[in-house]
Amino acid sequence: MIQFENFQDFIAMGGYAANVWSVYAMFAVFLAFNLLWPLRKKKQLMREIKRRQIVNEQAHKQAEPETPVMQPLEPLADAASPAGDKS
Amino acid sequence: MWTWFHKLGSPKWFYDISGRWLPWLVACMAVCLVVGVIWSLLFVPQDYQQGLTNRIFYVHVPVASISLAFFPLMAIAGTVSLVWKMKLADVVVKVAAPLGAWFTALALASGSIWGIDTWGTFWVWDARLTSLLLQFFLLIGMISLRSALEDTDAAAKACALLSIVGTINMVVIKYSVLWWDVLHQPPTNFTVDNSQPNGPEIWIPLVIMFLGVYLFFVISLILSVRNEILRRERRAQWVSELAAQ
Repeated sequence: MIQFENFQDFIAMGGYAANVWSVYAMFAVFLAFNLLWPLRKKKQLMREIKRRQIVNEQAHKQAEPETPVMQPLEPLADAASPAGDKS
Repeated sequence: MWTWFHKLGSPKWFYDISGRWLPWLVACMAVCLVVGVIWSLLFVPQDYQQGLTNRIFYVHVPVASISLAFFPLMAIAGTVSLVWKMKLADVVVKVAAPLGAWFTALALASGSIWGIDTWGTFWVWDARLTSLLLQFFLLIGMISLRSALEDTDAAAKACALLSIVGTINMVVIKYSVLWWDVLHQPPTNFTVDNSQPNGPEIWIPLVIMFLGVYLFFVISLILSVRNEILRRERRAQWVSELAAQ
């Protein structure tokens, strides 16, 4: 059975309007925040991961033509061998 | 049993399965909360002493009692992360702390507002209120501890230990109304018969609100756990594939 005769009575809450409605308003904020905030954060995270992927791919493409230039470095590896021991 | 245990520890497995559960959980939560709020605001008869402030009961009691679940939850997850080094367990310890702080803050605030007219004061330093305030500060401490330690493994260990120790406070909060002479009322005894005080017309909407708030707690926790999984596994193949979609 509905406890109120009309809408004004319902809003007035028997003189406790400020208390009752402030608690229910805080409850609504509490629910909304803790559901919407993680959803918002997920979007940000996904955008960040995607952005990093694109940056990585571009870095990879740019690195490829440079590989032949790196090759002459290989003979230097011999210099690391203890050549000085022979003398 | 152990394969199940290992699966549960796998962040990817949890991410997949929780994604399938979420729509159902959200639907159940929405139904419970809408029915619970309408019932408690419109249909619950007024209290012979408190009048219509008894509406606050239907927010305060579920939120406050679920706020006590956080420390045991974090202590169990913390133990699992300490003993078995399960990644997912530490994720739960991490994301439960801020949500727990929200629950505790709302429990304190709704209780204070309820107290203004029923007790004539919004705050007393009795055992129940003080120990709940302490829980709030412990949770804030937990969040700060996590952000102060840069090493993830060290932070996991420290927070797991703090959550195990902090569970003692939860026991104090729960039994404070019985151990000491406090202003806060002890647990209410509900009756099956409607002609008795606190019959079904009082507690059925409470049960519905409890279900709704519990589901909300589970959903919000799962959402944050999923985010933390994505953050920690951002270099894994499956996360890249997910982001590329």
